[in-house]
Amino acid sequence: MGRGRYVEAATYEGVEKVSGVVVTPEDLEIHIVARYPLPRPIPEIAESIRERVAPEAGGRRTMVVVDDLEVAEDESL
Amino acid sequence: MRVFNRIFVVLLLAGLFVLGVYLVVYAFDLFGYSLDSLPISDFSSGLEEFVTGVENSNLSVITVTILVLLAVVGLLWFIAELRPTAPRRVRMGNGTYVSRGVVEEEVATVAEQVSDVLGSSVNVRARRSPGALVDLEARVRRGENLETIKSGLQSTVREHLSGRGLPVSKLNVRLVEADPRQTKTRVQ
Repeated sequence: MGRGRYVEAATYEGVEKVSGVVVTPEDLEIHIVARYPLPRPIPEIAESIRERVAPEAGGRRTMVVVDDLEVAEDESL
Repeated sequence: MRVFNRIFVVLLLAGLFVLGVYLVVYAFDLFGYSLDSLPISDFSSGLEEFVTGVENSNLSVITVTILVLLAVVGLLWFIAELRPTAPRRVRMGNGTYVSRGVVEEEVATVAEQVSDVLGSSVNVRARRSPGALVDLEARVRRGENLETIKSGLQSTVREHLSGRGLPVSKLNVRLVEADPRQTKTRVQ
């Protein structure tokens, strides 16, 4: 999950903090970090996440934000 | 505008605070200061002259110029306040966004892989509609064929970004001839 670039992207519920998801009464923001090698173009990855999450968002406007791209660590090293 | 507004309001409030302190000091005759000692008579007579000039339509050219300038500044400020702020993220599709930093990194990475480019700096702006406005400044050696490098660089960056699916609405490439000793890369 992404953490936001300028302001931390997180939701606080009691003592619990969920990083990478910002829930407001109207909006739902999901922040992600995509990892190379990318299986599909970035918009497709973001759209597939949005399609999966939107039905569970309780009518909130759902947005997926790609915060960063990172190179996957080679596990054989 | 938000930063400007904040600075302006802070300065305005600081000024009002200082004026308030002065007012208290002078109003209660503290530290030997009293309202009688204030040179208000000059100010009030000047104000009276100005108001009389306005009523008689008899203002000096300088005064009219200053008033017109104030009106223009006020109008420009008003328009600037009405303009919506630029979005922070690049819109890809309906409800999907990518941060400007991601686009900047991708553009810089692919630009610096081009053999003639010794270094680059990228500025990405977002728009309300899909696609980013990209300004790419690439540093190249002196004496190179700039047109060839520019067109090659443009097509390479566009191809790379479209492969990643990152939408670009405008790509401005500017080549700057630089000394290799002062660039990020000396030899490609």
